[in-house]
Amino acid sequence: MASVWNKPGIEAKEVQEVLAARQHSSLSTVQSTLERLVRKGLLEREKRRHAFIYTAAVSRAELLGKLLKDVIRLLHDGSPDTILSSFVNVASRIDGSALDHLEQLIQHKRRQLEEAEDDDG
Amino acid sequence: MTTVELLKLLREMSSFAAIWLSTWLLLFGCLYLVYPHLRKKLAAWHPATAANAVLGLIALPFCTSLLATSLLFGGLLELNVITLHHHSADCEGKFPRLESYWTVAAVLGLSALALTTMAGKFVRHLLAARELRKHLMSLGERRRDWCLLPNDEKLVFTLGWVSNDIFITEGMLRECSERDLAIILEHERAHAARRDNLRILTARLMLLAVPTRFARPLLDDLHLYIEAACDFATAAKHGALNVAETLLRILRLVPENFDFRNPALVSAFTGSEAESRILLLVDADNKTQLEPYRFWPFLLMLLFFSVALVDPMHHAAELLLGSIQAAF
Repeated sequence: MASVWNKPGIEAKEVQEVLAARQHSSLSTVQSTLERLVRKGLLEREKRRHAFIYTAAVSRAELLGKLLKDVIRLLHDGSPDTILSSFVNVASRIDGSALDHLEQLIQHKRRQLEEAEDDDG
Repeated sequence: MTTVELLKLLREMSSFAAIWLSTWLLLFGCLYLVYPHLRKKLAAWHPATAANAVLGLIALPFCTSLLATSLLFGGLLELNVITLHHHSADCEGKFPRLESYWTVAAVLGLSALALTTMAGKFVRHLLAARELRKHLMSLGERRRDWCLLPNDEKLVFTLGWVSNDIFITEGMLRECSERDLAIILEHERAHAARRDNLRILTARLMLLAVPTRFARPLLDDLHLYIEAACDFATAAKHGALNVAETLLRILRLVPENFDFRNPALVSAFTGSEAESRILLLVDADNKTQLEPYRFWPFLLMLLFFSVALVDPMHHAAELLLGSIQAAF
């Protein structure tokens, strides 16, 4: 995807050349990967002379947004909790008044500790 | 191995599977009934101790049933612990076994199907997470030990199994102070140091045979205490009330406009987990952590129960296997 974003209208052979710097992939592997991305709706292809050229159907930001929606959904479903967890569970939304009550509780405890420190001092 | 020996082995394997599974579910049923009374005690302990205790309780039916069934089939203790009955003194080598090969095939087939389905589900999740991690890494910007995602959604999460990667969105980062960020990263590092994903995986494996509805209270509590244990580890460096305040601030940022596809699952999930974590942090001074040696009685209890179970298991298994064969 990064190759296509960097150069819209890229051919499979050019993608293979870009990838060659990091890993060896045969042309047929690159072509089948690009075709899979077309089927997933992430790339669009157009025939130019004898070869297909590929352009991105979604921007980086759109793809990231879609992936994050998947993350939120997975966090909600709870099923893959052995591999994915969030600092605060997205499913654990509490209404505003309960949050205010918790805040008061923290402030009360903080005051208690400060008073105890003052007494010790 | 001759055909006769192979058939004998299959008979023993299917009998072992049927007895182990029945004992496992029966012991879990007992735990399920007792657990609401134990929960109150757990809440008074330090979350790290409570998390170990919940994991120990989850392991108890699984380990006891496995050990007792192994002892039953191993034959080492039979003559000493099994009371004489209609086999007279010849109980040795007469441990309960399925006789009909149709029944053997059915039990082994069902066990294999259940195992394959569950393993397949787990591997699918693992591969999906690996793919997601790869994509997020390529779209994000690597910072020291975390990854910044250029998106306005307010999210912070870890992805991974053995080595966890921490992801924070720009939307979340804008709302976080430096102290919040330090607390979040410390919390996530605590997960990695404690190998919490491995704990959850172990618990899930030990509850594989248990329907989700019945396993949920134990899994929810394990999640709560694991998260709280990491909060407490963070609190040792940043102060309990500071961690509680960060939790509260992040909680106020949780996405509100997300279209929940499965409300039934959402409501079944731990809706009050974050609230409980804050309450535990506010009361942090009153939590005591038990030393690991205090868990030794648990192992002795497991051994005692396993040995004590061999005799009733022997007799109950004959009844059970007889019923299975009659049903087929």
